[in-house]
Amino acid sequence: MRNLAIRLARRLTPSGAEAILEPAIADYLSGRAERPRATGMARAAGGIADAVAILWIALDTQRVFRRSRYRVSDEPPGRSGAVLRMDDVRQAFRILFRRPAFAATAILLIAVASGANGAVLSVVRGVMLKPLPYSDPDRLVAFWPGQFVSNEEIGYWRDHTASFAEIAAASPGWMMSLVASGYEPLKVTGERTSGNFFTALGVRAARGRTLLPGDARPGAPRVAVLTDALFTRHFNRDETVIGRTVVLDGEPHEIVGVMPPLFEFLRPDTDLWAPLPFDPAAPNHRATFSEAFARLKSGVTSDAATRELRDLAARMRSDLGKPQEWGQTLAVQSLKDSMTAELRTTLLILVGAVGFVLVLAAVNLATLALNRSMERAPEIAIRAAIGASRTGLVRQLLIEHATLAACGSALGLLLAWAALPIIVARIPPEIPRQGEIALDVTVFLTVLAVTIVLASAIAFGPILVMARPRMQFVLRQGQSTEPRGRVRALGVLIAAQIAVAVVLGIGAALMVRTVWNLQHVDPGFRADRVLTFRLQTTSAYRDFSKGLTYLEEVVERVRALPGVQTVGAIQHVPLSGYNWTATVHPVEKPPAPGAAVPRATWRFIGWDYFHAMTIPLKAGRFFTAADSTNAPPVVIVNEAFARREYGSAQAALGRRLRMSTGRGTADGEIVGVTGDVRYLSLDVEPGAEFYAPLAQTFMFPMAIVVRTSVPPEQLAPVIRRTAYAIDRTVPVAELQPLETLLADTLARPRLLSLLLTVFAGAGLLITMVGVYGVVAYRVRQREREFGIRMALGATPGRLSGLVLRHSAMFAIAGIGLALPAAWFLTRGMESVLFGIAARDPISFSVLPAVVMLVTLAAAWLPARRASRIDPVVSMRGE
Amino acid sequence: MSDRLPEITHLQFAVLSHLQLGHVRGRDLRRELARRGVRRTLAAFYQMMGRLEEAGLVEGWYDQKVIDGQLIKERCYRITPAGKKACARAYAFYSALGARAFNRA
Repeated sequence: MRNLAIRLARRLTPSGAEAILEPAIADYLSGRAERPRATGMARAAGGIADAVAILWIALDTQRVFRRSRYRVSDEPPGRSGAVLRMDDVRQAFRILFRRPAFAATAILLIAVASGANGAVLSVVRGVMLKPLPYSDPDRLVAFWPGQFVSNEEIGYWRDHTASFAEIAAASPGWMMSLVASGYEPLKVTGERTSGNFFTALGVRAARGRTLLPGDARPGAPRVAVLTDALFTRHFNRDETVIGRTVVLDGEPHEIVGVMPPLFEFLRPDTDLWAPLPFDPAAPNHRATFSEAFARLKSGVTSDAATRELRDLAARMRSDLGKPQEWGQTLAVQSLKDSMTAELRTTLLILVGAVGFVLVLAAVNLATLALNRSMERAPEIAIRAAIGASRTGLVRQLLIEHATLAACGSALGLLLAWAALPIIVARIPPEIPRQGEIALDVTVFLTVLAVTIVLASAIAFGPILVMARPRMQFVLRQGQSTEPRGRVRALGVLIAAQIAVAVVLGIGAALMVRTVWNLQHVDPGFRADRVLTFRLQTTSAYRDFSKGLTYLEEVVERVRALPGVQTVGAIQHVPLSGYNWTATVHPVEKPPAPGAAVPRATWRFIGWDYFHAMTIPLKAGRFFTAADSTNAPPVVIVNEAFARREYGSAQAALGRRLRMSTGRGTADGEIVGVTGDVRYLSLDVEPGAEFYAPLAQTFMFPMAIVVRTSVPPEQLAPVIRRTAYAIDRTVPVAELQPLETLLADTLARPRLLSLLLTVFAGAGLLITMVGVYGVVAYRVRQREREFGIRMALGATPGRLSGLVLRHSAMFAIAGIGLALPAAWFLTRGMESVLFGIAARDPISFSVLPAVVMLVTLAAAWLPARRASRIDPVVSMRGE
Repeated sequence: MSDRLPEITHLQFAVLSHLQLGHVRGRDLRRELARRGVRRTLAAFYQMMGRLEEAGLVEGWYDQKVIDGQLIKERCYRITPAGKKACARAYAFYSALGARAFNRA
C-alpha cells in the first residue's frame, strides 16, 4: 500500500516538483524506519497511515510548488506551511451546505456508523483493552487457568519454583450471611483469599487496610475487607464500619478496610474478601476450590514459568500422591487475557460488525460523492478551466469529505455517549470490569480519526474520477450518457455495499437462530411457576439436626401457603453457575492404580425436589422420608451417568457406587434414575450426575424450590415473611422465579443477537438508501434514452423491468462477493453459536434472498418513474 | 560594512549557520529548526532547501542506508563556499546593525 501511495504521489506531482517530493518522502520514510517495527494489525494500520501521509505530502508539495516561485531572497520569512487552513474548511462548509439534503444524509450515515463504533469500542476498551488496575499488571499471570487448586498445591509451588515473586489465590463464590448490629441480615458473596492476595496484586484499600499475609495464619483474628459497592449499598458509606465486628457466616470478623470503587478480581459479583487460613492440618487444605494467580519475577516470561511448572509436575505428582494425568495442562497465562478469554470472541464479533457498518457508511458516502460529481461537473470543469490544478481540486474535495466525516463522527459520538448507559445496563452482570466502560478521550479520538481517514480514503477513488473534468461533457450539459468509468465505479460501490449488508445479515441470522435454539432447548425441568430462594443459614444451624429441623419448619410452613403445590431443596439450583464434582465409580469397577478416577457432578436434595422441578423419573424411585440419616445410604443417578457406567437406566438400579467428596468416601445404592438436566448452562450437554438425600449428607445453606399454582411473583412477599417469622437472622436471598434465572442465562447471546440484528438492520437500511440513490440517479441520466425506447414501442413494463434487472445485477454481484467472505468470517463465530452450523445453509440462502428483495424494493420507485417517462418531454431538450 | 540588507532571510541565515558546523541530514536540519520554533511541513522545508540549492548556497545529495532491512534514501546537505560568504555577509550586517543600535542605546 505504501509503494502504491508513493507511485500515486509521483503521478500527482507536476514536473519540476520532484526536488521537493522525493526528499520529503525519503525524510518521512526515514522517520518511520527509526521507530520499532510493528506486527500484525498494527503493521496493517501503519501501512494505511503511511499511504495517507505520503498522499498528504504529495498534495502539500503541489501546494508549495504552485505558489509563485520567489527568488531566494524573497522567501517569505516564517510563513506557516500548514496544509489545512481555515479558509479551506470554511469553503468546504459553504459548498456542502449548498445542498443540505446531501450533507444531512452523509452526516447521518457517518453518525450512525461512528456512533455504533464509539459505543462498541468503549465496551471493548473498558472490558478488554485497558490495563488491569493493579500495580505492574503485565507481570501478573493466571496460574493454570480454568483449574481450581488447593492450598497444599499452592504451598508446594511456593516452595519449589523460582519464576514467581508471589503466588496467591482466591476461592470465589462463598455465600455467607452477614449480620451487623443495626443493619438487616444480608446474604453476601465473598471470596476467601490467601493472605498475600492484595499484596500480590499491588493494590491498596481506599479506607483502612487490605488483608495482609499474617491474616491467613491459623488462629489469626478473623478480618474482612468490603467492596465499595457493599460499603455503599448496605452500610450507607458509614466510616465507623471500619474497625467494627460483624458476624460473617456465624463467626465474628473485624472489617479492616474498604476497596476503591473500580476494584474487582475476576468477577464483579464479589461483596467482600476474607482470608482462607493456610493450615496444613485443616481438612480443606487439600480441597481444590481456589483460583491461583502469580506475579512473575522481573524478566521472567510466561513461557519460562510454564516450562518450570511442567518440569516440576512429575515430582509434584509423586510427592503429593496425584494421579498420572494430573498437571498435564499446567500453564500460566497473562491475567488480563485469562479474564477476557471467554469474552474475546463475542467482543471481536461486535467490533467486526461495527467495523462493517462503518465501511458500509464510508462506501455509501463514496457513492454519494460519485453521484454528486455529476451534478458538480460543470462547477469543477469551470474551476479547472480558469486555472485550478487537479491536485488542488482533489485537495478541496478531500477536505469536503473529511469535513463531512468529522461532523458525522462528532454527532455519532454524541449518539454513542447517549446510548452507552443503555447498552451497559443490558450487559450481563457476570461480565468483568463493567465499571471501566466509558466513552473516554482515547475512544473519542480513535473513532474520530478512523472515521475521517476511512471516509476520506474510500472517497479518494471517486474524487480522483471527479477531478478529471471534461469540458466536452460539461458543454453538452449532461445530455449524454455519463462516462463509462463512473458507471463502473458506481456499480462496484453498490455491489460492495450489498456484499457488506449480506455478511452482516448472515452473522445476525446465525445469532438470532442461536438464541431461538437456546430458548427452545429442553433444560430437563419445567421452569414455569417455580419460585426459588436461598436460606443462607448461619453457624447457629451448623449442627445437622438443628439445621435440618429449621429447614423442615420453613418447608412445612411454605408448603402450607395457599398457591403452593410442592416444595423441594437443593444446594444450588440449576443454571446458578455452581457445580460440585466428586470422584465416583461403581464399587465393582475400581479404577486401575494410577489411573484417573471418573468424576461426576453431585447434588444433595431434600423433600419433593424432583416434583417441584418436574424432573422425570426414568427408572426406580425418588427419595422418600424413609431415606433418613440412619437408613442405608442411597443415591439417584441421571440417565447420562447410568449410560456411562451401566449402559442403561434399568441396569443401574440396585448397583452400588463409591463416592469420594471433600468430606470423605462413602458407598451408596442406586435406587432411581432421573432424566438429564442442563445444570451448568443451556448450551452445555448434561453430564453424569448423582443425587444424595440431604438427610444423609451434611448441613449447607440450601436453595428452596417452590412449585406454585399461581404466578410465582405473587408468593414472594409472603414467603419472605414466613421465613423471617421463623428466624429473622437468616437472610432470604435470590428470591426470584426460576424463569428469571433461565432468562438471565440467555442475556449474553440475546445481547449479541440484538446488537448484530440492529447493525444488520442499519446495514440494510444504508444499502437501501445507496441503491435507491444510484438507481434513481441512473434513471434520471437515462431519461432521454428511455423516452426514445418508449417512442420506438417499448412498453412501461419493459422499461421498469430493465431498471430492475440492472439493480438485480448489482445485487447478484454483491452476493457473489459476500458469500465467500461470509463463509470465511462466520467460522470465527462457531464458539458462540448453538444448535446451528457456522455455515448454516438456510442462513446462507435466505439472507441473500432477503437482500435481493430489499435491493429490488429500493429500485422499485425509480423503476416506476422510468416506466412513466413521457417521450415528448424527455426529448424536448434535443 | 554595506548598508544593504543581506540577500538571505533570517531563516536561511539560521539554516546556513547550522550547516557551517558540517554536513547534516535534511531530517536533522528540520529538527534543529523545529527546536528553534520554526515548524514547516516536509514539502515547505524541502522547497526552501531546493531554493538554497538552486541559488548555489548549499549542496545536496542522497545518502542511502539500510534501516531494519529497508533501503532508505535521505537527502543530506552541506554549505558551499558561496553559502559561507552569504552567511558571513549576513552575520556582519546583523552584528554591525546590532552593535550600532545597542551602542547608541
